[in-house]
Amino acid sequence: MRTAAISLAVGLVLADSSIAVLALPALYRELGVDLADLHWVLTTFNVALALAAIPAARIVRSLRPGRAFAAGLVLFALASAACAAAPSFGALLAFRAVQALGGAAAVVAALELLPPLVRSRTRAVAVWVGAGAVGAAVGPAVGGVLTEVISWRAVFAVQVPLALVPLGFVGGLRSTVVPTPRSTRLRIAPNIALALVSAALAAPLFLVVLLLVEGWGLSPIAAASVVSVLPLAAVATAPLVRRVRGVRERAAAGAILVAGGLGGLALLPRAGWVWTLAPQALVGAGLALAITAVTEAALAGRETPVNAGITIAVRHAGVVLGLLLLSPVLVADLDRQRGAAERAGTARLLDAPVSPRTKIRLARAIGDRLDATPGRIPKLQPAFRSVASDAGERPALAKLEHDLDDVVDRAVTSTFTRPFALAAALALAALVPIALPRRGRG
Amino acid sequence: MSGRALLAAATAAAVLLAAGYAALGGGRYTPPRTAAPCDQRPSPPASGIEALVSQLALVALDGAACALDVSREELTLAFFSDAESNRLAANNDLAPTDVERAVRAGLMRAVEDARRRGAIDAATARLVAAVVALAPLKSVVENLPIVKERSP
Repeated sequence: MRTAAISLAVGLVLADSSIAVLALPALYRELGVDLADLHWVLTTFNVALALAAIPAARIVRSLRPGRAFAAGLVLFALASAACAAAPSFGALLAFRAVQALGGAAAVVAALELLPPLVRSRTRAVAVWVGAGAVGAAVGPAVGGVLTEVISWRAVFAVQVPLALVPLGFVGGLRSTVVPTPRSTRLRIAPNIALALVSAALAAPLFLVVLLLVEGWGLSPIAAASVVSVLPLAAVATAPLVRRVRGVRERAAAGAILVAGGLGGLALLPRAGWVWTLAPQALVGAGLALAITAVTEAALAGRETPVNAGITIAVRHAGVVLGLLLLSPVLVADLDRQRGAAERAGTARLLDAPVSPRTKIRLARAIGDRLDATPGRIPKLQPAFRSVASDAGERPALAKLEHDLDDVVDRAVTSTFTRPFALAAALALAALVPIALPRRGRG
Repeated sequence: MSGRALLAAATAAAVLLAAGYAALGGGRYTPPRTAAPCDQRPSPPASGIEALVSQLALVALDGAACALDVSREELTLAFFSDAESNRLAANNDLAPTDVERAVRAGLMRAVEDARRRGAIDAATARLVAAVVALAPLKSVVENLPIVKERSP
């Protein structure tokens, strides 16, 4: 029960790196945020967690881990409540940073509390890493359901009681039952692999949601159902993690699966959520294998709070790196594809067998849509709905609407091709540090 | 399961998915190219005044786009979207007189095209051409969004 409670805390904190992704459209509407600044809800948390993890580990080492864990969770719960009540976007970002500070202390301390419960440092690392991987994967789906059913504020409000639950289970825990680590030296190669795989995972965690909601117009709850394939695949793969002993093989297989899934997302044959299922399943399975294996490799024989803090810092720095690398590519391609889609759609409109009057009305309505959605690929259905036409023209207009939707869908889908391909390359690049011979087995 | 078997299975799954999606047409999308406005487009025979007006408008649009050295699609978007008109005017450094001259050239081209195809007779073509040459197009052009946004 105590192991489950501590795992819940780790999963909860690390879910926060992605939990708000489906709440972004609601935040955009309610808080009047500039579209370009919206990503800071995610980036602030990940940057703060990456920066706070190592100092938090030093604090955990000087305090008793139980106290650090409890203090971190209380701070996380208070900051979550503040996020839920945030009056402005700036306040929300500030509270997100505080959330990350508390979360960092709780997660790092958790690694010190788990070994006596599972009677092995190696097993403790496996539990700790697994809880974090599942939390990060489940985040978008849970956040999407809460946003759709209640509000974006509920995403943060539900974390308050959940963060307080583990506090009842940590009293009297000590971290001295199992032998102390053999070495404190940092393993460079597994940490580089962890950063690269984490950077690649920014794509399925954030870009798939953007594609589903902003690109193909799915509601947050529908998108949440679609992206739940990823955590389900991760959970289904968990038994393999325990059954295959070779850490390096697990890490390499995981990185290859992540790269293959991202390659599939880059090569979507058609617009439609169903085509994202198989790639997401591969990414989920790869995530379960790779993240756990490279983190275990980074901490093998050196499971100190500072090294645990470093893996947390590296992982979230990797996510931020992924966002920083993928975002400019996505924005550039969005601009390029938007222009191409507009020109292709206009060509179809000009050549459509409808009267000049209908063409002008439709062109004006589409122009208004373009002006109303700057920097985004517009939805054209409202433009067609607003144009009255003769009964004789309706079949031609219906065909035109279908053709324009097809142009827009293809443009949207291909906008994401290069960012997903880049993310796949990051996952494949992780194979290099994974394949490097391991030195200095302290 | 051995580590090697896992590695082989993962590689097979990744390659199969990516190859399968590529075989189904994934990643092959290229945006449709817009036709060059200075090239002549085949015009289907127009029946009825509305079809004739539509055809004249399309040929005029091609002519104006040709004169401005932009695509007819870019020009159409600029007529109906403030953002697009700003972008087109900024990218091509257009002044109201440029647009007026281009619209007049496009209309002349449309009239000549209609005469050549026999859609209008020579006398009507001469009359319409005279109207186009003398008409106060400036006021019409100045009310188009592309010009309205750029005027001092």
